[in-house]
Amino acid sequence: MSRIVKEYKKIKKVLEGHGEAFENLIVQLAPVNEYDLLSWKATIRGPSDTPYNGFSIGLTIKIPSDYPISPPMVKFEPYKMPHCNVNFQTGEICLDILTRQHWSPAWDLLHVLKAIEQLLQEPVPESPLNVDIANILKEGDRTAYTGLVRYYFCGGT
Amino acid sequence: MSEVESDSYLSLVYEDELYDNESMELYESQTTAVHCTDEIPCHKFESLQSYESEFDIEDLQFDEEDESEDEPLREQSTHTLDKPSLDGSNLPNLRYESLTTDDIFQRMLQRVDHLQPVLSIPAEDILLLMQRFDWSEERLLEDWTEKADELLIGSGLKRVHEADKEGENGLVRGIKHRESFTCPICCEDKTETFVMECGHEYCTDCYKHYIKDLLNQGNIITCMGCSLALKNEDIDLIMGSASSHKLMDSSIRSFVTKHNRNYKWCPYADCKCIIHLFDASSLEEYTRLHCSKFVTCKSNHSFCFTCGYEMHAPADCSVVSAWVKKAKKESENLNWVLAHTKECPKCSVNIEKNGGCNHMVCSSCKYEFCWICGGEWAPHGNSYYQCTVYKSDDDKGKSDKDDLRKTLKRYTFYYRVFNEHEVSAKLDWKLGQNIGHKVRALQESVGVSWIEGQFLPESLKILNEGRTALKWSFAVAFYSDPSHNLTKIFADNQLLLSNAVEDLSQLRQIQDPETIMQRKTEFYNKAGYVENRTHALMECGRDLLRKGICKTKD
Repeated sequence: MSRIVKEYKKIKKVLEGHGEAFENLIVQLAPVNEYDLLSWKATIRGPSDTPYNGFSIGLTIKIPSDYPISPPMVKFEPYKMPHCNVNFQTGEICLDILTRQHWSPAWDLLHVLKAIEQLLQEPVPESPLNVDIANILKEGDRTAYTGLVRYYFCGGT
Repeated sequence: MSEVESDSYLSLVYEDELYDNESMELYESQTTAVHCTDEIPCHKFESLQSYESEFDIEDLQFDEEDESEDEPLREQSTHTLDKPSLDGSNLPNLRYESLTTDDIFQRMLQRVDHLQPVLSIPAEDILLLMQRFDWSEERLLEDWTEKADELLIGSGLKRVHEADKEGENGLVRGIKHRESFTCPICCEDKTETFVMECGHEYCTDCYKHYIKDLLNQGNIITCMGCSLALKNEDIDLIMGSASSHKLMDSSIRSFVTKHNRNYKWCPYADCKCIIHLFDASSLEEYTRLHCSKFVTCKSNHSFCFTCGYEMHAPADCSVVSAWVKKAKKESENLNWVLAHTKECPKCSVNIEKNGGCNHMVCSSCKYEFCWICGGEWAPHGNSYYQCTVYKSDDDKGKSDKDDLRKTLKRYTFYYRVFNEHEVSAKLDWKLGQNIGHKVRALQESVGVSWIEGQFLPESLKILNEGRTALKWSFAVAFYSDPSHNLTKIFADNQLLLSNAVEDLSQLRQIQDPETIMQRKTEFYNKAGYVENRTHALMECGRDLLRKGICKTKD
């Protein structure tokens, strides 16, 4: 438990401007309320060289009771996320470090957000959850990819 | 039966002609009397006895062919059910051994000893490398000759920048006692820590949690901060002794499951044996001939190597799987399984997809496949993704249901008989649990020698085998074309065996040691008869399968 408290303090510090690496990424990362550190919300900026550039993307993070032995559970919420490794319906993310097998207790929430940023920059169409977007990526059709992502972010259903 | 047909029926036609009239009569009574043999009139039973000589001739022929099959674990030389699978002449000779994970691990340790002078790194490190290469010496050596350094770094045995840093920190791996240390994982102040050459230091409590979680996976465990590997001695140091053994055990387990063509776990509850078939390549020949390879483990459990069920002759594996599935079909469980899971296309284990992408890895055989099309994953990774259309399972499900309803009546009958024999077999088995006492009682009260008393367990074994064969024969009967003559002959054979089994079973009820000794010859005769009948039934069942009269459709 004291681990997540420590992490909270560290995150506060980083967000106050001491962490250059996260300035461009994190808009917000905080527990839903101060008394329950097991449920978090995050907002990240779409990385600049991707179709997500310019959009804010919401995430919910659930901390399991045996954290950091078990990895946190991260989902794209409340907005639907068009990405080939994200389940469009549920927001579930297919990312190896978030599985029990590959997670290391030495990582923290900032690492997780960094890894998600990387997933936005380098989608893995070889193991898709969103087949349509994966197909577009495999075809190498950047324009269609950008268009589709923008369509969804600008109010498409 | 016409003249033309009779040529193709071989020995069975011969039988058929011999007691043709009676056989029809028996067949008619079969539907009602097969599981309540007491009601069968005496004269019928006598008439059955008269055929015995005929079957003896048949069995003599089998015995000659027996030699082609090698069953090292079987003591009985002539009449054993899994022997020749009755026309043994064509069956390849498959040798096997019964092992435990420990046996396999010991062998791996021997291989490590062999490798040690070649690789000239500590044995601990080789063990780790072997673990990484799924205990395949060949692959390890291949990679070693090509890129030893890369291999060591990849396996976490060597750090990337070892040379530059070594002098600087001079860290020695091991447990440290510190006055005050804030563990970066739990953020609590601890005094006992574990540190590696990489400089990552965490408290031993965190390490314990972390390792405990990973012991069952059988993979190499690394430092929590980087990819430097923990060796077995480190694990034992942190966790206390024998923990690394658990890791090795799970690693061997995953080795066994991955090599499931040659290695099979004994399916009996709590049995730790593994059957290793030396050459699995000719196993297909068994399938083709509708025979099954039955093996016996160290704890004397017999099972089918291919499907893992008990000895199920005369049925073959496809009949068994169809039958068992059917038996389960009614239960809610199966409905759920059908609705929510798919079978692994390779090993047929049922898999529930509870999240993640469509790139599935079977937890049982490690086969990688696509959830949508069931095809192998490898081509999906590189080529255009074409599996957007779900295969409609609905149509298949519907016809299955119709089929079920149509055959339900027939099925219920066969299932009931099947079940009754299963129950009886269990009772017989319970009876057999104290067979040792009985033999001892014989020795003590009547004064027979141990070897002389062996007819008792021997007859019990034959009884069990007869019952099992009889039980599975109903699965065969269910899937056979009822109008065909051979099916009728099969039913006759079932009845004959059923009578013989009940007869022997009755003898086994006798408690008094003296009476048992007095009727010893009867035991011998009846057990021998059951054995002959079992063979005949199996042969007949195999004929049904081979000629395509018995088909499982789905």
